[in-house]
Amino acid sequence: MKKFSKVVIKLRALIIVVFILITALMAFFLKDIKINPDITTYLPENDSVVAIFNNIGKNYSSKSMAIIIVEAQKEVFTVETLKNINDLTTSARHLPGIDYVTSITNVLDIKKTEDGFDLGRLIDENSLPQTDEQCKRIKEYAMSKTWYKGRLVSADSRYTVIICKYNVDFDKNEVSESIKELVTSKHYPEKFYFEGLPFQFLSIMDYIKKDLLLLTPLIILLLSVVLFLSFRSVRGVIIPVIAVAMGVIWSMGLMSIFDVRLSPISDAIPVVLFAVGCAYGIHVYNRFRTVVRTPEDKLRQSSEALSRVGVAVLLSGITTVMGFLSFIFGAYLNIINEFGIFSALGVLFILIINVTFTPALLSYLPVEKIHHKSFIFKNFEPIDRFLEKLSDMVIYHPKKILVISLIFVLVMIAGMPFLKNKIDILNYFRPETDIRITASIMNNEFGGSLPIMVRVRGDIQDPATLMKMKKVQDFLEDQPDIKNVSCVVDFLEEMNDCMGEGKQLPDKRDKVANLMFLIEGDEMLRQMINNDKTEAIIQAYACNVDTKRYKEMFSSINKILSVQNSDEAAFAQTGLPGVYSQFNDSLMKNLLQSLILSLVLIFISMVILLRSPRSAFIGMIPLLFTIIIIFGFMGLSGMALDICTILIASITVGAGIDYSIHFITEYKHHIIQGRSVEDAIAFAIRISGKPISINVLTVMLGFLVLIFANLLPLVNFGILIAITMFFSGLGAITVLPAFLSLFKLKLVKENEIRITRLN
Amino acid sequence: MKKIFLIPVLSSLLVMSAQLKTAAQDASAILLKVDNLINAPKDQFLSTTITIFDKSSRESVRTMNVKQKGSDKRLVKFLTPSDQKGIGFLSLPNDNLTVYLPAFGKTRKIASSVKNSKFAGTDFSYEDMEAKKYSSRWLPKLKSTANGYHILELNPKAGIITDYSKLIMYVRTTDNYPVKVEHYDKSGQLYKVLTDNNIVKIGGYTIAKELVMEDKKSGTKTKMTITSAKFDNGFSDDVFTERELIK
Repeated sequence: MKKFSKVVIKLRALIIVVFILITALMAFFLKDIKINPDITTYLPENDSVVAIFNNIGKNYSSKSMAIIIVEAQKEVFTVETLKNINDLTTSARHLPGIDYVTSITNVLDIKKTEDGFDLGRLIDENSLPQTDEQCKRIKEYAMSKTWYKGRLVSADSRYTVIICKYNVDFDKNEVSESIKELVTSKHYPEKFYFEGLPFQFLSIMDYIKKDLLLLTPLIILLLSVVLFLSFRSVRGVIIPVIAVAMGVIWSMGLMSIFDVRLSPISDAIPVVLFAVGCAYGIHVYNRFRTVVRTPEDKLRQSSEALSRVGVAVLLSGITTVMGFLSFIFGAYLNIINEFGIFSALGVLFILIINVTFTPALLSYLPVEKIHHKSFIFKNFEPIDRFLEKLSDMVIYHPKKILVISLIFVLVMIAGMPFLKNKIDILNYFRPETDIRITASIMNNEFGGSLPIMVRVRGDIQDPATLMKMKKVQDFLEDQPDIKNVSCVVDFLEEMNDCMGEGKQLPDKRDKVANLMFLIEGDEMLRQMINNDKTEAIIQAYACNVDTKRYKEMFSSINKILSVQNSDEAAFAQTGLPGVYSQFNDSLMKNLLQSLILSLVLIFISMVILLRSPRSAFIGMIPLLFTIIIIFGFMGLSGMALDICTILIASITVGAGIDYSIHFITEYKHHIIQGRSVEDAIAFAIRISGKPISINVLTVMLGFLVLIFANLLPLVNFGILIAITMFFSGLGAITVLPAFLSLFKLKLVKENEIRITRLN
Repeated sequence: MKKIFLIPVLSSLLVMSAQLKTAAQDASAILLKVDNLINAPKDQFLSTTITIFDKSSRESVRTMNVKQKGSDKRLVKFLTPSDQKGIGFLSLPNDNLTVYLPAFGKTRKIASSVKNSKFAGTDFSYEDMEAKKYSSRWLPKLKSTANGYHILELNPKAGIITDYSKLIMYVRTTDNYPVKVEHYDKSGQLYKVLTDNNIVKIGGYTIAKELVMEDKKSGTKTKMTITSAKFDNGFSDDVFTERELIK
């Protein structure tokens, strides 16, 4: 480290120039960073359920389907409202990027008449009803057909939907914006809500932008205040903040270069990096201002300062990098992998910047006067008194501390079975958000908002295949949480009835082919069957229910599909309940995988650092306690495991271990000095306790910024990380020393003590 | 003094109004010639192959026979694919459209409200398939004459229900044949383009042996190729009845 420090100080000018140039270059790329609000791309493409989901999304444009929900003042079937719906349908149909629009004013209708049937529209857009009587007749007819009731019009006829299909060649967000603008410009008296994936993407993009623009400045401000109170120096604020900011720019600039788009998780990267990475700059800066005291010989002092702090900073940072790296392997969601990679890179960059650029910059600055009002040097009596009492207690009553801790841990273990998974993306948004409001309207008025799709491959015009589809359809209709089941069977039964053969499926293939020919090209039909008639979709909607029910739903549908599967007709299921079910299964597996991986990586790092597996294990005790506490707390408090809270364990392991490292390093130093276990503990608590407390406070405050996030998993993530940091810090200065005290563990070999004494 | 100034203003207004009138007359005359040319045969019998191209240019092929008398009676019978053989459409004046489904052996009426729907899955709508004269539905305006084409803008006449806001028709100056018609939707955007290719003279009548309708919004395309055409067959009105449809 000494050699490295000398090189850094020698090449300081070059380092500063190069690092500034790299930052400018990365900032240039960063400005083009894009947001990916498409939640369906967060899922792993190789998962069978997701693969079918994407395939259907591509072939049937289900990802490009947006819904405008119209809430009428009294009811939909009035002259005025029907006129407005027709006007909106026509106007929306002509917006650039819209392929077609379906609403009650242009939906295909098969009407039985005396001399056969009328293949026409429910309401002729060119001849809208002009009187209440006409509206009443249309209402009676529409509400008598299951094809419209509950699908296009709510049961109380207060709500109706206008379905817009986007052209895939257009930017979905721009089309969604233009629909919203169109609706606003019309100034209709009805209320409008926007549902469907394209509108959800738009909202998510908005939330990601808002979170990024609010949380990043907020954490910089908060850290600046904490740093200023700690150091009472502008330099003490700017240096650590600049170092992290550069690391954030580098990491996110790389994201932009590799076209990795921002997700609801990765938009927390700046906050995470500021909260976790600021400590490295603080350590380097603090060491410089205590070591570099005279203007003469400043360069040598700078080099010495760096060599004294460099190893500790590097090791502490590397453990954090290990924690983030554990997400790379085996995470179900792509966005978690991305978060792991770019957070790990960010921490790594901040480390590199803090052991090169920061000391190079500091070496140019004049020697700083230490402000004696600064918190870090001030004799802050309450903390000192507390640490003094704490060290006495640890030394004289280690058993008590361990027993209390153990009881606390046992209580938390009891809470662990209550730990729940929350995988429904809808719950990630605050209840007052548009997404939640529209989803609740869809759940209440139209039977659900989560698409379920069953893909059928075979000869769809074969009555035997259609009969199997009907059985699946009937099964889905019988499920309490599944509504609005639709497929080509409905059309065929209706038309067959009109042909005078009863409301049932045609008995011959020719008849099916004839009927299909008649409605071929209709947009509704194109969403249900492919051009070659070799593939069809049974579509349904599920309500937002709990995770267990999604799993039951998924497996019960799979069961009926396996009964219907044959060489002639292959059934496969997908949709959000299926995806949620897979995600749910993988959540706990991923958690354990990344947790074990991070523990192993940290253990190896600790063994290298402390040169003893036993010391490494003892150092990890507070961490293990913290992990149990946090999952127990989640179980007891009702905070669920989700896309963000799954990250907690590994981040805790990576960042929380620092406190144990600080404590053990200090403790060993005093043992090597020849002090007794008790004295070494007392010194270690009093000396390292203060920086640990400040560090805990800083990181806690940093993560608590996330409570202002729009996305609820980020809020819970912030709270939980703050709690884990608190317990990691507390454990490092209570449980760990109590353990050392009780078992009189020196963690240093006798000959090391003697050699030091001889030296 | 004022009169001296007024004379040139009035005379130029008169000239302009006369020019406008002439242009309108020219446009109407051109459209009438177009109608006369494409509806010249008393009746026609066309064997047609329809090729539908989806967005990925995958094809599906059908064949049909079309019998037409005048500009408002048409009988269409599908020949292939085998499961659609015998399906027929009968189009008569006053939006009277009947379909025959051979598998059921029954005919059924189709409501006029589906006019903007795709005809048998093609890019032609029922409205496009109507055998009506342009001049009976559209008001023409001559936009320009250049490079051997009259370019007409057709706007719907009052009371005419159509899915299009306007048509732009490219008419060959040599023989008044409409080689291309651009269809604009109600927002004024280009929606579909009909191109007439392989224009030939058969039995004294000018006919396009290939019609291509491109849907600019969806990126799909339908090609109608006339494999054989016979004119003036002497079809009586009895050919255009439900009895003939189910034959």
